[in-house]
Amino acid sequence: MTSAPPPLQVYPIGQLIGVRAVVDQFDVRIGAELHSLTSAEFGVWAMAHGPADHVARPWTPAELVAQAAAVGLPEAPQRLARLQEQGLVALAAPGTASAQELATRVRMVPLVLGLGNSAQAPDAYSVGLPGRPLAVLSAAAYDLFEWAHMETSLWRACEGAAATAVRVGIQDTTATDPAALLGSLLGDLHRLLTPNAVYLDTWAVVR
Amino acid sequence: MSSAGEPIVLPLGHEMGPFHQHRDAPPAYWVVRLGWDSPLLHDQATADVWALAHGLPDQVASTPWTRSAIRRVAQEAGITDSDAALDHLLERGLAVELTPGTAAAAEFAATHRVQSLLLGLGELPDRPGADGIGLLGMPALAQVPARTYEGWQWAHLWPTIAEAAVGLAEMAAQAPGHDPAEPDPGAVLDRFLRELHTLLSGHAVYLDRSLAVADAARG
Repeated sequence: MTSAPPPLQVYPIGQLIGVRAVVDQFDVRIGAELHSLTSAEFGVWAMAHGPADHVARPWTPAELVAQAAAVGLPEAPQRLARLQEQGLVALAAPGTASAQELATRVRMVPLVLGLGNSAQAPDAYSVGLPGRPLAVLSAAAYDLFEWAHMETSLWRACEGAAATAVRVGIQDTTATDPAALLGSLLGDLHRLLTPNAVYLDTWAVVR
Repeated sequence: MSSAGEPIVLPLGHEMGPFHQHRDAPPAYWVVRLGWDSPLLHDQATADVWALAHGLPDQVASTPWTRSAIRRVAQEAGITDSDAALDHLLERGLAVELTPGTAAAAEFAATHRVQSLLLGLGELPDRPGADGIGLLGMPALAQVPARTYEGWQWAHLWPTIAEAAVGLAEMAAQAPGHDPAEPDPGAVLDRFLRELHTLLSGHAVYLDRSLAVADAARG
């Protein structure tokens, strides 16, 4: 028996850098480009960050459309398609070629601080703002939170992290195989995207 | 009040928090990421002074964030020797003291970059003339004038702060009804450095080595 292929999930790209609600304008920056969205378009882009109920599950276009319908946001499939055309949303299935394609053209950039681990749970690392943790990560994911944005793409970051794991003698193939690392990160990324702990950008700063 | 000639203090690096080696143990150290390095701060006072070097949000708009300012707030927080901790941070490249407008400030700007954090929330309904930076669903963490907000929006796309100042000056020159003083990159740089604590104190930005400098240091 073969398991079903992993489903395509929705990933938002860009950073919200301006809101002018009185004129129905939400500005999202990707690289050096500014995209001005209406509140309805912004609503769908915001929903691409993950489930509003914070119940972890593959964040598929169908799940997003269902959530949009639940809050009365019309034409979500059309708006999602338009956002995808504009590069504001990408579809990828963790563990497949589409995930690697996405990872080669985006960087994962932190929006908050690393809060470290705690005396109660040394294996769990938080990210957020002082006194306000937003997400809890494994050591491997925290490592990517800290370093991935230094590379020119998320894929290169996974390759770098995997090479480091090999160098220090880690045996676990989920840490030493860049594709496995990426699959694990993307499979769980909405937990970081929903509270805006990280965002995806296409920009690589010139060295 | 600090003396007029006292340099400002800028913290460097992205905060990565305390590291507890064992369950129920106090932090073994605090981590900062700076370029390709992750320097460790081995005592609470040094970590606290590094945090205080970012400024206090309710004070930075009116107080240049200098050694004296840090000493005052450190004493209020019960840290008796912030100067020693600050000297240690300066030696390790985790903070700099500089005076905007000097050659040293220009050198710093040519070798470092700024990285934006958080989201842009636009003009605050209860505070016209100020733009908010923060996360959705909570009060803005930084409230800054439009020109500082523009720096937060775009400066991180350039390789260095110096190049960002040139770019921001060009953007200002293209804006309708621009201030003739705006398009001077030197003036933009000075102002950006002087206003930086309004962003640093709200965790809206951090400072880092330029990637060229970071790559060279990586060896």
